[in-house]
Amino acid sequence: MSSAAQSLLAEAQELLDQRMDPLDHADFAERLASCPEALEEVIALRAVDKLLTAPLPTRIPRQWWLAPLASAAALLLMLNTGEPDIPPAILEPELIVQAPKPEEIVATPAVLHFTQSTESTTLSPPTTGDVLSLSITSSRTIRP
Amino acid sequence: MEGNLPEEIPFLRAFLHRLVVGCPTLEVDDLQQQTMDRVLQYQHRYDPARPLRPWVQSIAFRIFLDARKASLREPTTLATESVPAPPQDAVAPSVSSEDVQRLLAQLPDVQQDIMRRFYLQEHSVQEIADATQLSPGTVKSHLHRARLQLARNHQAEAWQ
Repeated sequence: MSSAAQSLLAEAQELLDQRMDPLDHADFAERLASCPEALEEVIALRAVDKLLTAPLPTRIPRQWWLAPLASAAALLLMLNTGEPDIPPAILEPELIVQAPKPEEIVATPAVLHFTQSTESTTLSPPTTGDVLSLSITSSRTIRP
Repeated sequence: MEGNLPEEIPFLRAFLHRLVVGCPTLEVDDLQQQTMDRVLQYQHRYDPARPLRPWVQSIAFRIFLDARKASLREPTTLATESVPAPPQDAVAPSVSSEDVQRLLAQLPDVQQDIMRRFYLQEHSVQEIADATQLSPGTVKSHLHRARLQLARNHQAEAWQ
């Protein structure tokens, strides 16, 4: 492989490392179009990246589970799972969210629970300083 | 050249399928048709001493870039103004968690671990380096090898 092709490959990998689409860079795309030797491999790399970054039924985007509690509450409402209304106190920014690890997030039937660190099974209005854990299960799939 | 073109069509389609991953508004059939039209239009520029496939792929790639740019510029109509448009780089519809698990299972353990952290847990290179006690350069090296391996494994047959 020519040095120009190797350079394009390395550049594509670097952009993917930074979670950027190489084809969003007009200069890169133009150079790639002029280098058939690198074209197929770069496109295959990008396709792998696209597949692996696709939202999956079993993956909740990190910004969701690391989001402040207000976002989690919005998610709860959005999923419309029939949980009780979010108590206003839950939106207080002083509350701390203890995010679950990704492997603890299971996506099957639509249920979304808040549980408090006391492991109470019912949702009672939290008070400032409470540590809440959020578990999300969703029936939403991307497409068959 | 025209005699060899039919043999190229499956490879062209595989290439186009990989190109449109993440571009739900673009259709492989349309891109294939436009590519074949342009190939025939410019066949006098083809150098028979060189392989045909990369030449066809270059044409397909330029057509894809133009189509992608046009799709990003498309005006919003009144009917869809109230509905958020899907992101241009949304997801390939056929992806499943099994596909991802199958892809990753083809890799050596260390690459699997790093790819899972990067793609499934969305950790940065630096975060992975901190967690695995590898240098960021080594983490990148594993990421690059893993992507290349997966890309080569699926060069011809996957995503069709």
